[in-house]
Amino acid sequence: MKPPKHDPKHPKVTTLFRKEGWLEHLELELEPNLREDLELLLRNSKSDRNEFASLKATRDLVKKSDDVLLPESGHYYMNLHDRIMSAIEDEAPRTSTMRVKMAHRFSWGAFAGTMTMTAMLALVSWVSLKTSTPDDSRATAAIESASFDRDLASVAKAGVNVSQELNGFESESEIVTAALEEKLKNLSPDQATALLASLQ
Amino acid sequence: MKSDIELVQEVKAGERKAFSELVQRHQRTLLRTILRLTREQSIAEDVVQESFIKAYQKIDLFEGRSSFKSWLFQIALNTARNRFRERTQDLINIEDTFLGVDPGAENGLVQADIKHKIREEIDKLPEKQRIALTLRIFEDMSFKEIAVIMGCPYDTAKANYRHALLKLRERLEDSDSVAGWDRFMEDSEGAWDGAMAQANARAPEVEQ
Repeated sequence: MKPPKHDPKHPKVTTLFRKEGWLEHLELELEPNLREDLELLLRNSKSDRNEFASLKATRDLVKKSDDVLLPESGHYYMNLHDRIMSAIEDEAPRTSTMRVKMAHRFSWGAFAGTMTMTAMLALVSWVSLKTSTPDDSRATAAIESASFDRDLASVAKAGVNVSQELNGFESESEIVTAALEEKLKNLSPDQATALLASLQ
Repeated sequence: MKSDIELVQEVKAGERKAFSELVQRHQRTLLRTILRLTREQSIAEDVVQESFIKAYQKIDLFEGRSSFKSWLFQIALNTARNRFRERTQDLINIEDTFLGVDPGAENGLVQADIKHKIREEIDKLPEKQRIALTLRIFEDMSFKEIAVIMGCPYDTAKANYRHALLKLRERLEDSDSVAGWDRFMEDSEGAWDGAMAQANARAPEVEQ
């Protein structure tokens, strides 16, 4: 408990301190130098004496209200002990330190990692499936072009690479678009002409 | 006699018998405390058993920064919390409360009623305050131990206890059962009148 600052009625004891101080005094938790101040106050102030007495009375009455009846028989506690030890032997293999600590520290990390990997694999599979089976007829024509097969295969491959950096994308269409953009940048004039012809 | 810490070290080294000694040493106190919180012996027994099993399973995590007893009680308190959360409503809704005392009633009966009233008021306290009060007054634990068991700072444990006691004082002073109070207090060491008289007798009147 912090020492009191000031009190017009008492040089060392503030009102707030008195309120808390009585309880500390009651619990024998008060520092010795402060105890002297409070005892002085107790001798000279009826209201403080009443405050302290009512707290003490409440505590005493609570203590006296204890109605818990414990079994007295030693046999009862022998049984309880045996039951506990039997349960420990039957059901409770002790967890090794390392296992407990690892489980405690890394359980969330392992869970998050597993979920991320699963999501990434699902997305990669989905992107690959999408790019290899387009339903648009024009795209189908393009796929039939021998030179474009390679390009699309590499687009799919690029999609895989891109999907490994999923953090920057919000949807699968963004991933495909980004992969195609990347591929179109490197298109040769002949490939570009063939692509335009197939789209017309 | 070996200390708790020595026994814990033996358990960690694989000596199950050492844990048996720890159970014998603490089961009674633990049962008493949990019984005060759950109010039902069968539930308290289950909580005690479950707590010891958990303590055994997790004993490698016990690093000795607190006493084994505090650590065990912390486990038991967490185990009991779930139980008495389910039961709090039942405890609060007890209707057969003490609402007045027949002046002619026997002292024993009056005291029993007042005790019942006090227990009822304790049950109405918020959980943390009730636990702090129980551990302090009935188990005579230090605030340091209470803080460890409740998993809170020292000052918080103390504040919970203080709020509980002040709240109880207020409720008991406002109680309808004043007649019963007076009688009980006359018979109780340190109760209102006795305490007042004792305090007033200590010094001459100097009202501030």
